[in-house]
Amino acid sequence: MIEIRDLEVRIGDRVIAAVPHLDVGPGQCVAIVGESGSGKTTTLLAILGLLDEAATVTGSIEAFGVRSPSTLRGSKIALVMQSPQGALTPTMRLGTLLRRALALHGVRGRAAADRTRQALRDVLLEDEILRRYPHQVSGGQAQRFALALALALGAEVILADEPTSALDVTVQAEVVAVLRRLHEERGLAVLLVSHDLALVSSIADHVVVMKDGQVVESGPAAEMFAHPAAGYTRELIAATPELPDA
Amino acid sequence: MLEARGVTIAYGKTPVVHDVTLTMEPGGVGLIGESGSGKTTLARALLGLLTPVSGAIAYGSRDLAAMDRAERARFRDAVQPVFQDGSEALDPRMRIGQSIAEGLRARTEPGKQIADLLTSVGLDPALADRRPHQLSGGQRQRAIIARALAVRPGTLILDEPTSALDVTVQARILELLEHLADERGLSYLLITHNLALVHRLCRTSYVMFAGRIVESGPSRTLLTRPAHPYTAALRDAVPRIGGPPPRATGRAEAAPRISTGCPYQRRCPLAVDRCRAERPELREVAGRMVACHRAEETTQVSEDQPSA
Amino acid sequence: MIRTSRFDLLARIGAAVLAAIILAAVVMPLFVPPDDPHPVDALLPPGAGHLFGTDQVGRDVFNRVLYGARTSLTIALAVLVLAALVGVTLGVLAGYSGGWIRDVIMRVTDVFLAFPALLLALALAAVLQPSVTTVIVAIAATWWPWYTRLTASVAASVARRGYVDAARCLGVRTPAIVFRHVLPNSITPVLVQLSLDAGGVILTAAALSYLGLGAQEPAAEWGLMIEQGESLFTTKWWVVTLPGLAILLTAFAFNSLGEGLRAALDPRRLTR
Repeated sequence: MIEIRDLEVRIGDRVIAAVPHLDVGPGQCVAIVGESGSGKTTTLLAILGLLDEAATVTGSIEAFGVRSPSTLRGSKIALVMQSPQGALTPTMRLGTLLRRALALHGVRGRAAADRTRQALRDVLLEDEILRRYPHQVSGGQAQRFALALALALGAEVILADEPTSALDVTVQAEVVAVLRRLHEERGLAVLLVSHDLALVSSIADHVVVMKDGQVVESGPAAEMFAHPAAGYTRELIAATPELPDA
Repeated sequence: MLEARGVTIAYGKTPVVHDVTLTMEPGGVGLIGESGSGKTTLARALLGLLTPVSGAIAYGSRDLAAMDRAERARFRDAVQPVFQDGSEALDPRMRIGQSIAEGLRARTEPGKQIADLLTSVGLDPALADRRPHQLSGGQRQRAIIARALAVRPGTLILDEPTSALDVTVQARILELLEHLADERGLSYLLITHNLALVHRLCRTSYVMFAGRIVESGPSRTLLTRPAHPYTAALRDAVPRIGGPPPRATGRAEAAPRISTGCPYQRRCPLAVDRCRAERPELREVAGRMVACHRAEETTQVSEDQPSA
Repeated sequence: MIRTSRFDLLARIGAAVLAAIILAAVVMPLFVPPDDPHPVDALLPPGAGHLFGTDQVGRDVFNRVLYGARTSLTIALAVLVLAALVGVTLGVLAGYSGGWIRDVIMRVTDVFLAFPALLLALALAAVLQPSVTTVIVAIAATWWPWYTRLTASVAASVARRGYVDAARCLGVRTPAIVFRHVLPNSITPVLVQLSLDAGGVILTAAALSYLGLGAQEPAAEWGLMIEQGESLFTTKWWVVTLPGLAILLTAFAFNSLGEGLRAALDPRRLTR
């Protein structure tokens, strides 16, 4: 669904992200892990065509066979950010917002109502939330609403940038549960960008580790966490604080 | 030692901390809770930055509110905060050295004192001339610690000291804190939502929900065999490398109900009629204090099934 | 602190125009004395001898406009310094202390803000003797509450920041906290507002002089010049129009500069 080949993003002559090879297949959950300055968010923005003008991009990014996937933003490709409340129009009820977004895609009346109901059920939200304004919902609800919006618009890939790092751990667990459900039951593909190795290990099938703009390791999640090859991956795993075993 | 005795704190008419009793201990104390639980408000009271409506903050068995100038100064020198880097803990217009100098008591050789403090937190003394925005997040956090150390305190109140940092940087700050605790005999009150940090730095923990302590006791007991369903929910929600997926209750954002019964009732999978009628008091069950009517059952179950 | 690259074109033009006006107002009088009346040469149109023409009593309008700039800029500077001193002091006090101190200060500013600035200035100027000093006092008296409000809201948010709490815990005394931390971190929006307001002060001063409450003959002041030449507007346009343009240009320059400062100092545009 998304194929990246020889992607290189530069600002001036500094390479801020170089990804030789990255595929997100149908129903796959791929995670890019790294610390600040690793280039993980840059890669995500490159896919969406949302990079700063100062950045030059070489290599190819294809999504659904399209060469410039930014045109698919808001339909087949959806973006979920760290704090979605900022992206929701503050003066509009969530129901109105969703209805307008659907109307923009030519979905109206019964069909729109059906899709809305289904999408809300998929993210475990009550219909009642449609009557609320963005400031009246909590962080976790806003994040799940963003997912519902993506689903209703027919997204097949969700690009999520630190979607839970602003949330309390119990709320994070709920959003992760919803993401896992969409991924496992609805076959939704997810490209997750996160600094949290433990979070990534609980959801991703495939992991790409980045550091200073370069990919240091890439492979199936289970294998990588069991036998990390790169020194940096081992360092990340060791640095992740652990709970005592029960 | 620093302690809170039956402290209630309110903003206007809304109480945010209810009747909390907490005692600092040499092995470190963790204060765990989600945002809005009142843990940061309690910390501000322990620092003397705000005054409780009722109850008292005491240091060396003297009530903070009744202290004279000299006692107050002694308290200041003994208890210092370490705020998180994200909270503008360093004045953006001041050089690092100037910020640290605010805490120096002896006026002799301030330059050398500042250099020593920076060295003790693993920073190059040359950074004294820089401003906060010229430092990395980890360096700023170390500078914040250095400033707190300037008055040679015995207790540091750490408010989410690593939550704004990358994991590898966080690991090094934790090492530094452990090292300082050994070397200088510091004890920490660590305020965090991250249970793994508490496990590392604190022998004792308090879990706070909706302004009340719902469970307290040895950190290891709380994390491995939680008695309160909220403590269990916090632990089970933490993702772990190679572990089971984080467990969600699906009700994490239900508003706590304060009026009657247990504040946790709306989120609790174990709530029964009694929980809705009567607020549970803290009592001792299986080696810790817990405020839950069903604590006997939860401690029983968790001995058979670790993941309850 | 301010990087010129963040200044947009308009702000640069504003700064340049302002620099030119200030330079002219400062340097010109060093070489050319104020022009005396020459009734023979009254009301000459702009031309070779008199760039801006002459007025009713034969004084060079260009000379008068430049001397007027001196008066206007002096008034603006004096008003803003006075208003900022009072306004910022009370604002920081209100914002940092909170509680009843804040309530009292804010109620007083509300009372002042309830009057339209020009009306209050008019009343004051009417009670006092008409003069440049009167204009300065009158306008400053109506201007300070805005700075109090602005500073109070910024200072209140600064007072909640980590470094202020940290300083309190280190035992730094309140006056030191206010002067070292709160004031420097609250002042930026006030500086921006000051430059935005300079144009308005000049306009108000001109209005008061126009109404006969400010500068008096033979002093050169733009508002006064317009008042005196008003009846000639349709026939001898230069007597009125050129000082009018001077007011407009100065006000525009200050505003552009202020907008540019606002954009340049916006924390969202500061690099980390």
